[in-house]
Amino acid sequence: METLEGKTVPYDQFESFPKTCSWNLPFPRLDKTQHFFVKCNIVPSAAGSAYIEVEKTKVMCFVIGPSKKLVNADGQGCSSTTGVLDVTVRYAPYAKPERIHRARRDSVLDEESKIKRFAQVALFPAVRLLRYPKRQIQLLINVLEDDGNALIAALNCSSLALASSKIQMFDLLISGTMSYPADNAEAATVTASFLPAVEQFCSVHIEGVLMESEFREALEKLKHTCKEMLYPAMRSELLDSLKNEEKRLEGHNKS
Amino acid sequence: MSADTNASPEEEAVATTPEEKMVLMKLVEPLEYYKTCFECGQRRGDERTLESFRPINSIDGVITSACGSVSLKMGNTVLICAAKAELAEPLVEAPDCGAVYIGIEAMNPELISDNSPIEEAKMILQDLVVPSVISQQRLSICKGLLCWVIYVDISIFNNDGGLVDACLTAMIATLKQVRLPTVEAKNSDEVLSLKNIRIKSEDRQPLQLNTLYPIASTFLLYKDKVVCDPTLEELNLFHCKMTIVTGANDVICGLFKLGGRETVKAHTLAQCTALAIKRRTEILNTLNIVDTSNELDSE
Repeated sequence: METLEGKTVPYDQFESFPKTCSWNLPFPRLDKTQHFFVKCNIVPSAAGSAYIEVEKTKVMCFVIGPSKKLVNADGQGCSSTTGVLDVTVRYAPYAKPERIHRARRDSVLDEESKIKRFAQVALFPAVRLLRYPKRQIQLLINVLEDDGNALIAALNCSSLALASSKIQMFDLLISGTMSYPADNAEAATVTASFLPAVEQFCSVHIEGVLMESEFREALEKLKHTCKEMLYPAMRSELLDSLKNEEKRLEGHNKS
Repeated sequence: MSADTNASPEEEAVATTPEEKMVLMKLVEPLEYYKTCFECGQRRGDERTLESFRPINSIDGVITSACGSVSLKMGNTVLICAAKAELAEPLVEAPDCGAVYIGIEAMNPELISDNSPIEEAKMILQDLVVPSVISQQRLSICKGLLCWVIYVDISIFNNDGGLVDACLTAMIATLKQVRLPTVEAKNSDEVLSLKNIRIKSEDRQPLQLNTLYPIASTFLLYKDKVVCDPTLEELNLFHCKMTIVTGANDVICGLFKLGGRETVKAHTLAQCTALAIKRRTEILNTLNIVDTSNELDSE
């Protein structure tokens, strides 16, 4: 039976002013008020979950585990002494202005593989995988809407989801991105993830050209901005969710 | 002296309150626990009677990149439904018909491992939406040349039973929000086609839905009892459920009973139908949708 599925054309291209979607917009910014909302443990059946909104971008993360590690084909999985952090990134079909058509269920978008790479690089130093030998921690990142900043939202949401599932970590991972110099057409984009408590950068990514002094100044600015704006909001939300969980457990024990 | 010290822990262990006994029974023997609850005619888990449904909360416009979107919560069943419209040339065998395609996928990792409720919901809804919710002829722009294709995508965050009910309700609320732009030829001398199109986004028309507005209600059948809106735990223990879809003027749009050991008697079916009709009125009031049967009654 022949169907129209997959043969359709999005009508945005026929509009007079089609809107564009940048991949990585600067966030957080001191000179501009940006919408930021974060919530932990929104789905009680998952071990850990988090929901984040950065401007119009919406990301939801789930954590499974630690569970038994899947043995590799060569059997090397059993002999490993550290746990494995398995990251899966999934875009919802309605996440982009044009609908995402997948020829197969397991086909991967370019943005998905990019976010996965960034998440693996950034989260590996933050999570204490030595505490979970022969175990697998699965992290599922769902992008509900992408209006720019999907990478930053996914990284911050992943950190909160892992923390809410009580996976042992050194600190909350805070991620941000900025253009340097600001308001310049040829500005370089700097994306960094770092742990505020131990003052360690977990991943740094640059697109463009920067001098060394400019690079240091950009990193310092980004670290200061993330520490002042993102870290208190995420930490307070994590503590609030833990308090709510304690209250729920106390109520259950009383009955 | 020693006999007294030995006796007191046993007495403490024996003294349990009835609530604690019920909690223990639910953990150790869930089947017996639910059988006892159904015999008594009430459910202790979420303090509902057998004939009460879970309330529905919905938020419109959660996904700004879609034509219409709804976030719906029914008890612990949470989902997001979004619709996107695209253009296509109609098929040769159906030149004046558009199409509506439904995609349901799980976002919760626990749902991905157990995919059978989602496959069941997809099977039921695909055959139900096109004739009942929206006609394909309404999606045609120009016969044989151009038509709309609407993709309805549902993301399930948590499934606690009643997946078909929640998906169908969210789909109706989403399609109610869809506003399609006006399509006309860029060059009026040539025929309208995918190469000769101008979209006027400032002039948008709402989608013309059927006035049937079907709403699904799921029941669990246990002996002579009818349990309304069962949770996932109840569905997994008693594998006998029935879904009734009712429309305007008390029309039954669908009756789905997929397996199960219980047979449906006539009075049980009548009772379920009456409860489903009442449920439909409540849901349409929640969604602020005017039912035409009420208008007919008032006339």
